[in-house]
Amino acid sequence: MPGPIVGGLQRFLGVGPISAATLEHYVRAAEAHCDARTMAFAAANMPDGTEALRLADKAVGLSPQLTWIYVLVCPKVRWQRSDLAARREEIIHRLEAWDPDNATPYLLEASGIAGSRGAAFPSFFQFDRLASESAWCAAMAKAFAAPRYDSYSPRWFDLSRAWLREHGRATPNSLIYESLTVGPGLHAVAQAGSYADVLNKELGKKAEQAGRTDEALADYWSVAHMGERLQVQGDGSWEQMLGGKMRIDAYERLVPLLRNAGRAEEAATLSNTVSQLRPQQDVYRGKDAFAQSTNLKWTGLLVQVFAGLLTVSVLALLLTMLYLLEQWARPGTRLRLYRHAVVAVQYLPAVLFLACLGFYLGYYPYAANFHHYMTATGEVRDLEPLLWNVLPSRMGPPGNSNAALGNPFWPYAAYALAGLVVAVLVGIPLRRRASLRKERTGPTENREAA
Amino acid sequence: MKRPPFVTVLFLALSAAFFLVPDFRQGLVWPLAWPLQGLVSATGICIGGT
Repeated sequence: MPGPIVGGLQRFLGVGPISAATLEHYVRAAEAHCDARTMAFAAANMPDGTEALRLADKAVGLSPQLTWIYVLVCPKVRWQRSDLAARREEIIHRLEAWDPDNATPYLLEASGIAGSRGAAFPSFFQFDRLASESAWCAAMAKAFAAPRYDSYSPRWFDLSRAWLREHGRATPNSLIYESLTVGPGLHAVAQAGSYADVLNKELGKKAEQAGRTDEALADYWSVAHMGERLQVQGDGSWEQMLGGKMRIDAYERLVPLLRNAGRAEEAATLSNTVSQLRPQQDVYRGKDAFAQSTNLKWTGLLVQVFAGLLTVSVLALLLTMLYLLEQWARPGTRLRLYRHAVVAVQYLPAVLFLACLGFYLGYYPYAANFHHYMTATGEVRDLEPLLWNVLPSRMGPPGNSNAALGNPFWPYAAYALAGLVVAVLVGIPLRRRASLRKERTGPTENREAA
Repeated sequence: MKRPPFVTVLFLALSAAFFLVPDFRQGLVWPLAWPLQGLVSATGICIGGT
């Protein structure tokens, strides 16, 4: 546990991830009270893979419906250790037995096979060599045949959100930290894309060339259905993009085969679906100009500018006050800096107030989103909007979704310069007239004074 | 030592009041939490680049 001062400060500011020491504190209490949810939460957050695995074992032992927590724990464990190799297989088979209709455990199995071979495993673009990796292909075939795809992200979001609220640790930062700890990992799902290419470009193509149309059709349909599951049941934009790509690649191969087989109606449907999918993919790739906007980037920038102004004004105020206190404590001649400091200390609170007001008004929608997400009910399907709706991060949805912002001061600068020139032109004769008047009245005043 | 003007004290008190609002403090942490922001930006770049 952090010290009372640091811990109190962290709690006051609502910052920082939950440290391993803090997690251990909660784990000790959870083990004493057989609290499986806290153990599962700690397992997913624990940086040490061995300890994470121990906690996951205990949590699943107490509550088997938490078996999915292994999906989050597996990427932390250093499976290269010889004593853990058998353990990995046991965990994956346990997951597969617990949720046999889900593609995720099989994707993890395939990813584990590739990982255990290290550099000896072919590159994910060498489709011919990948096709001869029988164990990896068998695991992938099971994933592609599974009727569901569930990365368990909604379950993890529900568990972590409830835990954070129950333990008074619900802050925007902690919510984002936990939301980033999701799913079987990009690597495992990305390998599904490589297996899709093996089926499309290697096995299906060879079957088609050999005249085994039914076999080729089965390979292409397998890719298409996996793509559909990733898009319909996935919870992130990269699953949407990968699923969309898999569907387009498979449908484009299916259309001519179906036409040749006299199934024109099915071919027409798939052809239209490809036309529908392409613009969707373009949105994710930032190629749709009308899906781009400057709003997210600009509001994020404004919040950061006001936060910077606020920090500078607080520091300036503190330094000025310290300087004045030091001067007052030491009587003597005052420097010119002292007079400036006296004036500054009167005006800086107004600057600080404006910075606070600007920052609070800019940040308020993000805070409102955070409170909404913490209490919203219903299943969460996509956690990515949290990244740009809860934190002013100047980034938006995937792809190049930010339109060119430009510099707002360029149009203003020309008018400001013109205003400055007018002010100088008006000011010069006024100043000259004032000095002439002073010259005329000056001697009279001097005489009167004498 | 002169007594500070009332308006100065007023602005100081109004500014201090903002720091007592939990949302304000939590929001202020974020722009200063550069490491986390870097992580989120990197995730965005990865997602955008997929």
